[in-house]
Amino acid sequence: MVLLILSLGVAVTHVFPVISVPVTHIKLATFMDFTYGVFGWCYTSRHPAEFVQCTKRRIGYKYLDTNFYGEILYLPSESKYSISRLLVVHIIALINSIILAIMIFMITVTKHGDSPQFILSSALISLPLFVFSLFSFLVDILLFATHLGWPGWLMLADTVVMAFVCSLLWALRRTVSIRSYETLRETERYPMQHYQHSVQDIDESVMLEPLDEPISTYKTDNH
Amino acid sequence: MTGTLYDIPATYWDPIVKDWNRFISLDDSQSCSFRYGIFPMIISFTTNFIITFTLTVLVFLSMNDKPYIYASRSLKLGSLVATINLAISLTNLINLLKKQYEKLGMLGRFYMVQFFELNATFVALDFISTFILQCSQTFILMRMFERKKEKQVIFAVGISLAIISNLLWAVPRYHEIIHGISVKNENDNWELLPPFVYMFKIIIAASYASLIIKFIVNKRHQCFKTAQLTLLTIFTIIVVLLLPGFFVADLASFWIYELSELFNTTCYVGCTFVVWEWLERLSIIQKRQQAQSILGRAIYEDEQQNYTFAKYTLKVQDALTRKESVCSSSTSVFTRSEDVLEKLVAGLDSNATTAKTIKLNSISQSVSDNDDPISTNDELHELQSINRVQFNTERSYTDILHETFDNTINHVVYFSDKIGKNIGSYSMGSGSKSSTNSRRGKEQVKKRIGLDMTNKVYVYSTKDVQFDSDVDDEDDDNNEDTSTRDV
Repeated sequence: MVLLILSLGVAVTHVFPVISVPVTHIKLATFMDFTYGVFGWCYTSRHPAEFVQCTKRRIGYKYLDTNFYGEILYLPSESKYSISRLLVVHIIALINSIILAIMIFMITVTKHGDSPQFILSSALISLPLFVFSLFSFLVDILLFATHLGWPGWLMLADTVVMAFVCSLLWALRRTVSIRSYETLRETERYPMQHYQHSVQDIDESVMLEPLDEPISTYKTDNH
Repeated sequence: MTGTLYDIPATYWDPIVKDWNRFISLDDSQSCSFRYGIFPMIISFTTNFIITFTLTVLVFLSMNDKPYIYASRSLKLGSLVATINLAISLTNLINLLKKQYEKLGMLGRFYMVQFFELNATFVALDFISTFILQCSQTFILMRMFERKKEKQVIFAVGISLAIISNLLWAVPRYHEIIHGISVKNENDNWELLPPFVYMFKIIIAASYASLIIKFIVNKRHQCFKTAQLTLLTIFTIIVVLLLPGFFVADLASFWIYELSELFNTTCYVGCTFVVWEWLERLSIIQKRQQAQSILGRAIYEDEQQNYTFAKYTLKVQDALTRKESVCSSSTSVFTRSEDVLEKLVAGLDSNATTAKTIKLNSISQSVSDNDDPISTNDELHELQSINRVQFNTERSYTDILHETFDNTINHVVYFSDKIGKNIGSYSMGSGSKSSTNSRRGKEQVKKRIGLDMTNKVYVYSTKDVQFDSDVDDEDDDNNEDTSTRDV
């Protein structure tokens, strides 16, 4: 349940940068009269009247087609504009976080919570999400430095939360793995039956006794 | 007239002095501030070289190859390559500065920065050393996680990340070297790659740091047990956070960005070796605790989940019993004894292909005799699939790779147990005696089998054991003798 809440939180926080400035009024970063988002940037002119002009929605910043500031694009850092194309990681991170949230929802609600393979796959998906969260934050900080808005700083929080979610998922994988080992299913416990059922004319007298496996308790909280 | 220039009462022209003062008061990379001069670069470069050299010497002095043979060897190789790289670069750089001074009469940092970007030797050796050290970091992480599946995941993820990041790093660098122009000055897609790779490397370093910090948090009771280990743990945390820290410093100051590659090399060597040394000391405490506990080393469920050998045995057993039942149902295609014999031959012989072909021939004959070819073919197929002993069939590459990896892990676990035993004996104070003990043991064995004194000749008594009856007989004989004498 904690996992589900955390993963949903991460997914929601990844939505904010993606729907920033040209789409809505959420600002990924503010510098002088300029506001920046993932899909573009806007200029707010104040002198004649308050007037907001934005670029087209696309990845990577381009010069704004205006007469006033047409040739200028101010970035808070010394970075080149081409680095703004790396903002695409926000979208990748959002997709990844949605997939992870769905998987964790399935783990919580459905029977997939008992399968170690499914939990392993979701744990493996959580690793790139951690990487992309950190990557998003690094790109933001590289482009906008200290002028970063709250959606950008949320990425840093997401990175920490994702590290926690990752470790929780791996711990869950261990727990489920141990549980499935201790309560081995019939086919795993009696591997003979699988073969014996496939043969029609089976001699009942040659049925083998099932293996006596030692059931032991293993350490769960080693790491 | 004797005297120096100072004796002449002359000053610079005022506009020049003003201009100069303005020039040195600017605080950016284009100014003439001491911070952006050549001397801090030389000092930092030399310091890097000395640190890396010292760490390499320490690596070769303190690291044993076993049990973690890949980790130790990759670390040794990586640090050696890094040291050689820095030594060559330092020599070339001094030569470059000398030529520059002789030609221009000044020392500028432009050529120095250009040297690091466009020198093919530096780039190639840096690429190799960074890649090897990242692999070594992966092996160290594998050592920290004891479960088989987690080790596999760490190995796959770590090595692939190392390959990707280094290849992406090398491509623009070689592009620069070949075209002789910095990628940053071009206005195409190339300029996107260096910052991407830079951040990618930072992310890898941050992941490494977070995994180690998580490990420290989990093992906090052991990590802070003694004062020495506490200091080493804190040092480990600092060293591991150095690389991500440089990113922050890079944002703050342009100066570091130019030299980030140099710092990177030292940081990689440092954060690999220090973590290794810390783990070594931590493992001694762990092994001691495990030795004191009842059960010893923890065993995990995935070490036993495969039951490879047991499954194989069961399959063979099952095949035998099934074959018997098939024989009893189908009216005497083979006799049971022949069947079992054939099965044993097929199963036990390592070159069982001949046996199998014989069997196939005989079965095909029986098919021709029998009127139900489909069912017999099915049986044949089933039998064959069960009869498939692993060494008879050609395995796929993935199987071989999987098995090799499993064997590697098993070796690692085995040697870790072994080294744990050795460390245990060492910590008990008997480590130095181990060689004398083994020598004594060898001498004992030699003595036992009679190889210790080969030159000496012994005369063995032919009668070792004296039975009472013999004694009685002798007594009787003596008695008879005496009696005869008496008579």
